[in-house]
Amino acid sequence: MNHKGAVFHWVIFGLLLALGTFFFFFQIGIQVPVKGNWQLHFLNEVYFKAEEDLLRTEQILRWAGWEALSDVFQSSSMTQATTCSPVVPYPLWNKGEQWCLPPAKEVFIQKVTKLIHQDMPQYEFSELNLRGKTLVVKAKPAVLVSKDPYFARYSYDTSASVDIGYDFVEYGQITSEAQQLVQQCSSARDFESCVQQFLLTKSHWKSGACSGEESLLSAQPRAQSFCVESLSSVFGSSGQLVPLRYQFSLDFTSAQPFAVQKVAVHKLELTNYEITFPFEPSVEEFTLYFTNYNGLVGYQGSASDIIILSGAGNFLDKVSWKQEAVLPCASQKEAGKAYHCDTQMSYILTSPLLVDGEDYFFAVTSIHNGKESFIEQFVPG
Amino acid sequence: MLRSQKGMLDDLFDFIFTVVMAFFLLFFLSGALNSSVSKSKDLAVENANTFTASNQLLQYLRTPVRTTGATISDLIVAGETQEDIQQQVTKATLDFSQAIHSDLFLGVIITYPDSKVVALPFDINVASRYATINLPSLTGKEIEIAVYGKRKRSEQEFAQAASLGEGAG
Repeated sequence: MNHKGAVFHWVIFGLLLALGTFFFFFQIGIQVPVKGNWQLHFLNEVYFKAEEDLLRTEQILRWAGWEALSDVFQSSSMTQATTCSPVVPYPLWNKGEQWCLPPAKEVFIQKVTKLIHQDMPQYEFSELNLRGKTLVVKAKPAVLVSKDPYFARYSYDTSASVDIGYDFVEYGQITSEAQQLVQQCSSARDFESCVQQFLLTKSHWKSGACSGEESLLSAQPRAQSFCVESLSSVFGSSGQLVPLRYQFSLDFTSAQPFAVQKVAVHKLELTNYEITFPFEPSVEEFTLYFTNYNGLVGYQGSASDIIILSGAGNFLDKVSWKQEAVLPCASQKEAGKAYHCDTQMSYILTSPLLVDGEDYFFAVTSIHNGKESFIEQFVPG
Repeated sequence: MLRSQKGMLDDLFDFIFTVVMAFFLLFFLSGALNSSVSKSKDLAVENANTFTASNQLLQYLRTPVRTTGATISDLIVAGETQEDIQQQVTKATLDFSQAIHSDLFLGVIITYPDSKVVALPFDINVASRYATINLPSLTGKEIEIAVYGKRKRSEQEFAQAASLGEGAG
């Protein structure tokens, strides 16, 4: 066998053995770079930072929205925003028939804008609006640059939209309820009882200030303050969950004279009737309505709205007299004349339409400044 | 004929020697390469896990809660001053962790400017911190929310090495 070349074989074998021993004992491996380093650096250090920034923006927006909401319906800014009366402690939503509802949404937007400028002075936004329950902000894009260990430049939109859990549709509903209340109670002489009756049907309405102060306002005798609790709750500035409350006052001054109440009818001889009711010196004119149609018993409302079908033998007639024509009280009263006796007004009615033995119904209205009061009720004679 | 046969045996030895050499060479090289690739893979997985955990943390903070319009992040902010809200945070965090069922979301620690709240209790000895987010507090300071997940391989090896060192010492 030829052994001349064996030395080369053993040299190579020895080198290989040395290499193996070196790798095994010194644990030195071949350096394999980690895959996706740049991408993961970008995601963790750039993209995630941008998302964190957006989260902070959303958070600040939501809290600014809540702070503005909890303040907007009670604040003095709403009192200033209404044109009705700046002196009443709570915004007066009406003055008689004239409504001057504060632009709550505009005041809210102004407040949120101010709070954002205060909390995030560097945040540049061009548009702020509330769409339904969502507060929408249109802002400039921001740029994040990372240079170490990898270069990355990330531009992202900082516009945001957050749910604040409140829609101004609710404010619209409250104002419409307020209008309904004023319409219902301003014509009532005792508006307070009328309001109390209304409050029984609306559990979220309370008379008086939200702070528990008195409801009647001394400056205006027919004005009352209310506190209406919303279905929505928001986080207050100190972190506690508070229900939204609307604080306002309403004026129940009637545009028309009050309905004439406590009308009494006394049948005199034949077809003469004496109609008495409380005397009201401020009224310019009175109108007495009389009818044989018993369907009008229980009717409340405007006299002009009554329609009588005369073909069926029914009629509705009236007589009017002015305040100046009212005579002082007399023991013998003439038909067709009105008398002022103590606190009562008395009118002796006679008419060819009235027949002895038939049933008739009577109602009285008053007229002031050309406006006629509602009919309180038809009283049987 | 005989001459030729002698030469063949010589060549056969050379061939066997080459095969044995190549086998050992590849064996050592693959050993060295495998360990490097495995380490590199672990590191890549850890980095990817960090991103997944960060995403889960964002998702957690943006999760809506019962209060109209509010998210868990709002409860956390309100919880700084209201202790009863901290209980709501704990409940919401537990619900979230059960919903996502991830080993990268095993614990949550909220650090307020003056206190620390464990919103999701966990065993710190077998967990690693994966991601943190800072939120503005109501007092104008910062609230840190940190999410913990399964122990990272790198920390595990470090802990093992440390315990071995202690044992040797």
